[in-house]
Amino acid sequence: MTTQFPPSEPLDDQERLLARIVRALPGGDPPATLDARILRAAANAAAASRQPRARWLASAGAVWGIGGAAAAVLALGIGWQGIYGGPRPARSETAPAAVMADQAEDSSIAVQLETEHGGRPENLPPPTVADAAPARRVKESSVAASTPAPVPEPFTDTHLDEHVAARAEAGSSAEAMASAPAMADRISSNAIAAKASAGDAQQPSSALSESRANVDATQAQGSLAGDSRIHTMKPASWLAQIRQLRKEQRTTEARASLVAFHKRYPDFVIPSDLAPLLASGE
Amino acid sequence: MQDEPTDEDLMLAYGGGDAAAFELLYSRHRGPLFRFMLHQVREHGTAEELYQDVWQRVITARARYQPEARFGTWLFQIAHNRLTDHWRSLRHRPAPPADANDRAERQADPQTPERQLSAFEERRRLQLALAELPADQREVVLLRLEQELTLEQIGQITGVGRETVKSRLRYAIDKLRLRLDP
Repeated sequence: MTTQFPPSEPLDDQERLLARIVRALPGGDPPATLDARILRAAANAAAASRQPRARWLASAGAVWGIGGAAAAVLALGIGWQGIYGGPRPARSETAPAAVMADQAEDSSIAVQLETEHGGRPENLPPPTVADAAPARRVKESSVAASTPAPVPEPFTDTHLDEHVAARAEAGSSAEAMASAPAMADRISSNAIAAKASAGDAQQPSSALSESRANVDATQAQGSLAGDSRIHTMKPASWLAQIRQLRKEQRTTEARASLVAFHKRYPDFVIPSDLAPLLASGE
Repeated sequence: MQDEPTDEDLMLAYGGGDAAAFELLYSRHRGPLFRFMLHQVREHGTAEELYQDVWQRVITARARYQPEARFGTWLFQIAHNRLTDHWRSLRHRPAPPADANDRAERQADPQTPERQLSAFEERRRLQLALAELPADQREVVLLRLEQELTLEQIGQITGVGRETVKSRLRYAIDKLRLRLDP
């Protein structure tokens, strides 16, 4: 495939003179270890691309089934309550808004992991127009990918319950499903979207689970327990924080944080200025 | 004789699972990209981190890549975005060295016998001058002088219009010339 691009603009005399000096500035090349790490990551990703997608398609199908079944059960439950007027369950102390906030917080962790393991990172220029949508889908739904779809508590809105009950009485379960709370739909569709996106990135769900376990292990680190924000930090920000700790002579904390970083990002090349700190901690 | 594959061809081949295509592509861009990052952040460890991040993003986006622009433009756009994240995470723009002015003024003394610059002095002066530039101007001038990108391409990378690029480039080149030839 050959694409024609606009011709280049040659440097003028003044620019050429400066360019000659700029190119002679010391800069060097990336270290060989870094080259090797990047090429290995690229080769691994390419190998994963060549694997058949049947497995994740099958998984996505299973998630469709589970999601659909969960929505049906939820709709039937609401309909049952409407028909028989059973005792309304006490409202949980956790308000829906709080649940969503929890999910959002958890989502940020999952997105970070997904990025780490080959998902689309933030701030990537759009190679294609359709690129943004799957990324957003993952961001919104990565919680559902890593945990079973939670069954939301029943709505307490009387009008809504009556509306659902009336539809259930009409005997149309499909209609009842269609009018079921938006959360159930969102959870099931999010689970599907996230699963598909995870499959697209060629990451088996077990890897995601393992990454979450790593996050849990990291959270167990005493030195990090006081700062929950660190779990959503990008690697560069985290390393900057470690450098700051070291600069402030808080070497023990810096070392513990670096060890945690290395556990969480085992494939990340530890910068040469921090490598001795890690070596002394191991 | 068969033509060399373009960067765009190589990236598409890599998106299709050809790891060897990535190796060739990587070999073409590793030096320029690393030097660009290093001249921007001026610290080797940070440059390595950011450089690795940029390539990781290229790898991640392999299947979605479409050659709507030159690969180099796209690559440096990713680098620009990563640098923006970096500056934002630091909450400030990179400051020039504390003694940059003193050192540059000493070097620029027209009365000294070093009026005729050696190549080494030229490089040193230019390095100091680059360090003094605002990050926006430094980025534009490096993309133009080192990578020989067009004003349009630089505009795509940095997310500003051609006239803004032209203005930044003019200011930057004037400052560099002033330092080299006071």
